[in-house]
Amino acid sequence: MKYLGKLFVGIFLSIIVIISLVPFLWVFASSFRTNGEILSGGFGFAHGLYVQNYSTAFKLAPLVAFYKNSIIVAILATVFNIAVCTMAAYVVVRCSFKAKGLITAMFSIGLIIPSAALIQPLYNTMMNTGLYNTLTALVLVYTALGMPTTFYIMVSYIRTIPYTLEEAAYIDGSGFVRTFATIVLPLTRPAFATAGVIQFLLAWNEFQLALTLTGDTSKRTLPIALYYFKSAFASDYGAMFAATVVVVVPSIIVFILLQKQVISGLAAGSVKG
Amino acid sequence: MKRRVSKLIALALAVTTTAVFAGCGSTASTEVKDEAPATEATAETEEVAADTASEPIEISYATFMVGTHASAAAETEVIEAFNKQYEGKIKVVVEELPTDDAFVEKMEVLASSKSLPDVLIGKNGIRELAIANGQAVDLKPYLDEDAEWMKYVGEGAMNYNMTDDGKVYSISNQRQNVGYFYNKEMFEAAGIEPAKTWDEFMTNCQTLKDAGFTPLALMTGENAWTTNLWLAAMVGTANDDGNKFMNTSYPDTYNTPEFIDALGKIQVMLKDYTTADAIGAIYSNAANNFEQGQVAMIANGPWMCPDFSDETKSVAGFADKVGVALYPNDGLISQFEVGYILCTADKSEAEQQAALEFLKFKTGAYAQGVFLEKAGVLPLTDNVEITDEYKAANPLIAKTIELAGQAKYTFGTLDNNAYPAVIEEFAKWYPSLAYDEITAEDLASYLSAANDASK
Amino acid sequence: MKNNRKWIVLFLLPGILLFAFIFLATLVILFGSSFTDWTIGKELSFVGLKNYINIFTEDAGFITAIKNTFIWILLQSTIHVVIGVTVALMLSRKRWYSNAVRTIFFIPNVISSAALGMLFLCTMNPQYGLLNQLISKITGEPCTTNWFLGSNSAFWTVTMTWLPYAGLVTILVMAEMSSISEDVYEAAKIDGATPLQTDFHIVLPLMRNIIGTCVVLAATSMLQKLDIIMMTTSGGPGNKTMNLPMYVYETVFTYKKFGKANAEGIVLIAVGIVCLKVIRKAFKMDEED
Repeated sequence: MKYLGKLFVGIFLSIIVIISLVPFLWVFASSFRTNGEILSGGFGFAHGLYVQNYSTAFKLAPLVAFYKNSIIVAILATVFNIAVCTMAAYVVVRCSFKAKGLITAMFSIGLIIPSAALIQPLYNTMMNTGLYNTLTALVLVYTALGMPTTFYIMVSYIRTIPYTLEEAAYIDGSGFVRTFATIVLPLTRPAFATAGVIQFLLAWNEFQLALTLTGDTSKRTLPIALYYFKSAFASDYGAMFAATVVVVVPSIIVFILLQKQVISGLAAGSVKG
Repeated sequence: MKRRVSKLIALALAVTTTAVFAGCGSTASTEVKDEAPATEATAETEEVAADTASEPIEISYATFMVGTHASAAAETEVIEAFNKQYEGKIKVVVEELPTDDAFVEKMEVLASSKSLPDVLIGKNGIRELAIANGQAVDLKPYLDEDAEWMKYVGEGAMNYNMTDDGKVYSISNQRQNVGYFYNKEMFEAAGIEPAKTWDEFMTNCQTLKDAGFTPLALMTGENAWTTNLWLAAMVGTANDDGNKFMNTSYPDTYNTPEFIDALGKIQVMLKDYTTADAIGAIYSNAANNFEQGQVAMIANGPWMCPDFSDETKSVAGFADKVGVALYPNDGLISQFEVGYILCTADKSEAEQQAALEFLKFKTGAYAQGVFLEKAGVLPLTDNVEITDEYKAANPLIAKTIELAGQAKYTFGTLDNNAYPAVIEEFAKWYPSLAYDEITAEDLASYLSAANDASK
Repeated sequence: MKNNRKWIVLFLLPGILLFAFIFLATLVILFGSSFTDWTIGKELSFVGLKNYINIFTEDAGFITAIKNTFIWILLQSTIHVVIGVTVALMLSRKRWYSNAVRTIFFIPNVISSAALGMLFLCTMNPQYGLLNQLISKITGEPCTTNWFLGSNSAFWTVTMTWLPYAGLVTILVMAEMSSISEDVYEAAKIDGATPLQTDFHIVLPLMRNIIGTCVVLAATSMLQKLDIIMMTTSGGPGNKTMNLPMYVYETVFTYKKFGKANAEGIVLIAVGIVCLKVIRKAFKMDEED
């Protein structure tokens, strides 16, 4: 029985690893293939490792400028998003007030609003406020778009923290903000890290609004770069996958770094039960 | 610990202030909306004032010819040349929109906010939106008063884009002559010549198949481009009605005998005479099948030629194996593109003049020459000379031009003549047609329904 | 519970302002214009419920889109979440491979959709694709199944582009598991519980909230799913892989009928609200622990 269980776990996890790894390896391998090789399938590299894809990628698309913008936008949008949502989630979980249902609904709306409907109104809003073609616009939009996810995660996580710790702090004379910052925040680190990854990816990968809300090449972000390799009659998929690798690597690094937080959060955490 | 707290509070404060600032903006925005024309007007006066102080007038331009687009190099060169020639007077500010889809979508958003750039290509219905929202400028008067410009635009291109009431809202950026390419080796091996009639064409396909070759590089994804060129050719060469149909923009219905008959042939072609991956394939798949020497024929325009000698795309020595031919019944797709529109109806006189200057430059002799040289784009008139060296270096393009003189039937593409919604239906229903789940009549009626819904 | 009005307001304010700035105008426009025939360059006129009646009576495609969206929501909020939670439970007992597997499982989530679409098109290509080549090798017979556009396989092939990739669920659940004290596991062990029993009777009940959250996120993600479908099947063959967001998108960008599109958008939101209500109720998310 025990043996069977282990076998099941082994098979299940192997399948998971294979289906997750194959796409990435395929993209990575394709970044060293020529256009013809990619479209004709197979596993070989008839032209050898076609590293020119990487130089083509940097030559055809303004990757460096986009990179800089993406880093700024993704970091700011993540930090703001987590700050805004954690504060809101905290009072929603811990305080009692009438409009709670309304607040939750408000934070949920981003989940169910069709993105095609957002484009036009957001464009108008940014035009009217003079934020069109600024990174600020993108930071604000991504902060807001990620609100539901982060809010839900933070609410769920803060609920797992026993209230007794905060109570003790209040008895010691600690104020509202101080209790929040010294008692609650350190305990929510694993949730920060997880919500942070999701929010970072949102800001790092979003294409449609980035394109709609900016006009200058100097104000654009990385996802737009990938489309420089896909024109109607002359796509270069080798270069596109090279660019994809260049775009994906930071995401994976951010993921690994933030997940370290989850693990080290264990020491601070372990409060449930 | 302390430091982290203060950091967090600072952060929270920063967020709040940004949000408050933004919030104020949003509440104010509704009021601002009504005043928008006023603020624009002040901007204009400033602009005019700036002009007298000899600051360059900035005009906006949006383009999808970037990145891997075949015309990207020509586009950059022309814009740079303009900015250099008009240095200190006019400056073109370019918005790059990679892929046609991204371009069209963003322009639709801008059109509904009445903020299209001053100059842009008005394809896929954007010109109609610019006319509807009042931004587009009738260019006929300007063509009438500038004989030099008119010489290079030509009557044909002008008439192609003329509305029923004699207005010209766009100047074509190119003439398109599209026949089909074929693999000479395979044709020789199968012992066939390019077909003269559609019956012969179908027989040829069978002969090729029997000889072990896949006859056609078709695709049904995206806009079903290589498939729909055959469709257009079959309708356009069927008879006079069919030819008229393929020369009509936004026809009333697709339930015509010629169209249904042609769809029936397409059904056979999708079933028997193409690659296993044609259903759902995108253009790149079809092109690759041809360029890797897997397939005998592909319908496409001369812009494809540079690919044939590019070894990352085609097999070595492929360029020499490719021939180009007219469609059966001596048919050729020969059309002008929609081309550039001028969206300065609500701008100042100075800006309008500057934008017009750019549009003239973009459609003038110099730009047409650059696009021919760098991107294989055919000029609008014969007044732009195609040199013998060019013809020698680009034999397939030269041959296409030669064939244009022999064509009996000429007609446009579906992409140019149909509503975007109609084109979208092809990608959805061609698979069902190929798998015998619907008939040619069914498909024609779905197309007509999408056509009706778009009116 | 603390009840400090000043701080409650201050803590909520940034979120409220952001909501007002980004979403409020859209919601008002969306709702208001769904009763008009709004399009570019035409005088706006009020048409009452016409858009709503039309989409339900005249558009066969819309009904299919709703049906497909519901099936996808159902699959995603069950199978997808179960996969994610299962992996989380399996990895929760620290093994040498735990971190590696978790990282690998998450990788598909970081690849942007432009590349994913092309990736799936290439690997599922009937003629050259990795999948068919593998099948041919295994069975010894040439396989040219058209996974994305065969009328029997299309829906499931599209589903498989997202259903198994539950790395997000896994990391969310694992983050919350990290808050379970070792004592709990110890106590269970002393009581003689097997690992499986511990998971089912102790760990999962403690995870109720986060699993509920995962179900909410998984279900509503099906109301946003667009780019993969656009790049692989365009909703075809026929309308077999059409969903609500795609339908709204086409009405906006292909037909440019903003009034009608917004009526469809309101229907989409209504579907979303129903989902949220049901899920929140099922997981008792509105109740205090």
